[in-house]
Amino acid sequence: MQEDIIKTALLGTGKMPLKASSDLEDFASRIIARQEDKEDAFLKYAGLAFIYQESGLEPAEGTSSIEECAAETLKELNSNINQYLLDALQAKDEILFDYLIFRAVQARKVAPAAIVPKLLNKAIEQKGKADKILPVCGELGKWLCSMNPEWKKISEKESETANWETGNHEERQRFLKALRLQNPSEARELLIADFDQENAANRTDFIDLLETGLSLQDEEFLMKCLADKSKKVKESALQLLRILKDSLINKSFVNHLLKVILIKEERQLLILKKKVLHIDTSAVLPDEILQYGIEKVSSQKGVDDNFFQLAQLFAYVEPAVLVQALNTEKEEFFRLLTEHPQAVLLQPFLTEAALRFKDNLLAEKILSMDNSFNSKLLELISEEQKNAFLDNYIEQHLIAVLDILLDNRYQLLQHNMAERIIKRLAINPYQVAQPVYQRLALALPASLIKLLEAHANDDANDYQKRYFSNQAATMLRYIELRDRLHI
Amino acid sequence: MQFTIEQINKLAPDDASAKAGRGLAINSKWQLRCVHDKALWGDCQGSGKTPYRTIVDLTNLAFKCSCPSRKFPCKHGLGLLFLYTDNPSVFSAETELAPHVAEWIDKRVTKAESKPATEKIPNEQTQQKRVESREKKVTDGIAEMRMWLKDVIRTGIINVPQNPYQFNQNIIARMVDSQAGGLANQLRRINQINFYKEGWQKALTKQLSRIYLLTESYNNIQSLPVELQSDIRTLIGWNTAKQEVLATAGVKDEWLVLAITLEEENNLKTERIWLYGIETKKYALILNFYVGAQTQAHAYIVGGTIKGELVYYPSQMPLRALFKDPVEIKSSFQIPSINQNIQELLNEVSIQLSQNPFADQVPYILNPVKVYFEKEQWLIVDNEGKILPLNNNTAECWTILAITRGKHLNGFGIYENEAFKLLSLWQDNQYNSIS
Repeated sequence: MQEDIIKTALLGTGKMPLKASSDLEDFASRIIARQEDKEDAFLKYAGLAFIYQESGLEPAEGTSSIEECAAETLKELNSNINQYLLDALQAKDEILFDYLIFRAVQARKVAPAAIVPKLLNKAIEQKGKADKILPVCGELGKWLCSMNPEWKKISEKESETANWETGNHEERQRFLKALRLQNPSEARELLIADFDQENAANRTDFIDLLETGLSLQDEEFLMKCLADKSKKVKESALQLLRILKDSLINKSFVNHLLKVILIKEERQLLILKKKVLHIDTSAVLPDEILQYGIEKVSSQKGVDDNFFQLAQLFAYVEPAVLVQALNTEKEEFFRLLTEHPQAVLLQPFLTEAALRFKDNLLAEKILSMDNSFNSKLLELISEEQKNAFLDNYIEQHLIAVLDILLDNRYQLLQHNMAERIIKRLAINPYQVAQPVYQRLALALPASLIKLLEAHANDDANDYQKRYFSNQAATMLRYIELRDRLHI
Repeated sequence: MQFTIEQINKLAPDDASAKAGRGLAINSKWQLRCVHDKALWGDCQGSGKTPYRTIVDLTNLAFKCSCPSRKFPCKHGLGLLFLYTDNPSVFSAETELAPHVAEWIDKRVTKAESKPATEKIPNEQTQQKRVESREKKVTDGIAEMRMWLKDVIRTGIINVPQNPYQFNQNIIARMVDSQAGGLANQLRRINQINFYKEGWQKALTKQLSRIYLLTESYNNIQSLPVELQSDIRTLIGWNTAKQEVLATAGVKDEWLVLAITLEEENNLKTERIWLYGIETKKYALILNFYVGAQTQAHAYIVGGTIKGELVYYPSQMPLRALFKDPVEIKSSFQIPSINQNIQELLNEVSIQLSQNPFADQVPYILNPVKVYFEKEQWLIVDNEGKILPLNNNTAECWTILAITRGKHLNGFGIYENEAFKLLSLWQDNQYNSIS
């Protein structure tokens, strides 16, 4: 019945005349007998037929194949927190959202069911946050992910989707990285087997991945790569060989350094003896070393080419190797290095070495030098030392200091440090953006509320003060909100 | 009266007010916080020197505030209610109402008891002239509409998806000019059809033929039963005066607020309040319209109840209604204890269509049913294994599945076009709004 009506409707009564169903033949003939025209008859008949069909509609049969979701093992967040979470999602307040998720994970609680789909959508939008969001979605989140193809992607672990044979380049990189962590030799052999079939960009990316679990067993393959047609592949291989301890290239760097540096005792004030580090800055780097990617011409102002070439070697040699060869102590060697008259020129290369070989002591010594601020070096030292350094950097490197302090652990700042930061920001409030103020508020101790209230109530007309007054009011709101959350 | 955060959120005129209200639910913002059986009141420190005096009538939910906001309820009223819900212990329990609170509450009681003022009714002759003039316009408009429908069907609808949102715009405008707003609305519903999805052919043909039948019925209206005449006149665009409706006998009951939905089109917001009489087991629909920045003028709580007398608009199957007298709003949570399956729903559809062939929306509570999806289609299945397509959007369907966790649900929704749209459900003794 319906098919005939729809056919006529699609093609028009001009081309396809009305064909009445046997069920409604009587009605159809009465309609046709009194029709104004074909269209009048069709529209009346169609209207009647649809009502007739719907009046006798019988439901189809089916069975739900969905299994029930497992019960939650964790407690649910209270309704207040849920509302803040929803507000943060709707207002796209990333600072508040991240904080609430952090607190929920910390408290081992899950979001209520109605919010979970929204959280999963958020995890899709911002994949970087998926790991933090998923625990808050609980068993329900896992259950929903198993059924929704879009959400399924976020719940699968990276290694689960990665496949060397059929994956795309990113998936193959993930696969190789994961294998390299577990079994470096197997990863290398797998790479060697397909290496020639890869394009230059892929070859470069895969070689870079070998830095994970790098060992002397990789040297042979990396040496072969030095003969690759691609300049980038060669550079990547060379970079690894330069830092690979006991490799031919690395050994040549160590040997040369040991030839030109010497720890000797110097007499001071005629009586006292003091150890000093002597570096033969006139020594010329042999061509066999220069060919391993050492810059020949100094890029630093006022630094002699010879010394610049030599200084680069420090970046590739593990400090512990030199310490052992010079038969000294780390503490002493680093002190001598940083007290050397040309230590400032060595500083960037020593920093590179400290970061590359994760040498905490060297990092600490470099940070003690003037103008040595480096946020990555700070990550190598202890929390206590870090705070002491950061306190000193507030005046000159406030933005970087805030970047380090406001990490994803949401620890409260010490009162004095927080007060100095606020005072600094009050002088030049535009140096950080509004989200930084919101994030800072979550780290401010309640003891600063009075100071913030004073700024918030400041009626000054100066545009900077007005701006900071608004920011102070915002920070107060965030602090109140943080302190009211009883998760 | 105990409220939930969701209930208070629904009272807010907009999201911004709800958010601002939650921002004020801080102890330190309120210089005074008092609670009495009848009311909550407090003084909120705003930007000025004098704090805003805020009162919430708890007996018959209403708000009053000395702030200049035009929103109702304002953020202070909402803030006070949020604070009370969140932390009632910070309110001092009073045995007597403060004078300004008592004065306002008394005024409300007096106003409620006094009879509403009667509207000025124009004289009969003028009214008759107006009606005749409109009748002519509507009749002319209907003739034009029938011509348009015939033209569409003569040439065929096969090309409509190429320009689905423009092909009916001129005739919609013509119906508005003809003062047949109801017909214009019927035409607008064509634009809700998804022309990218298989099945549009049936939906479009059905709607076009339905409108044609409606015009045919209007042309022969005298031959129809009186109640059906009212239904048809309403669908064409004639209004029944509120006074006329209020003059009829009402139905007293405690009405469960099943769902409140808000749709916005062309600066006009249409609010639908779906009710269910706990004793009478009757459904009712209250329609409110807001233009521009107008906000809701009631404080009904979804999931809660309203005690009062409803009067239905005349209809073959009465549904649209009005509250006759001031009502008592209760936030006490109620779950309808009804067991109804899909076959029973379709039987009800059959009954409704036999009484009024133009009945297009059938409110119904289904319990117990489950929601699932198969071959990219969302379905609702009952314990007898009968299924109906679910008409909610995909995001809503996932929300329903999340709330129910694959278990049975007790839900209220609307049957329309051979599918069911869930608007709310009760799960684990909690009310959940889906729309």
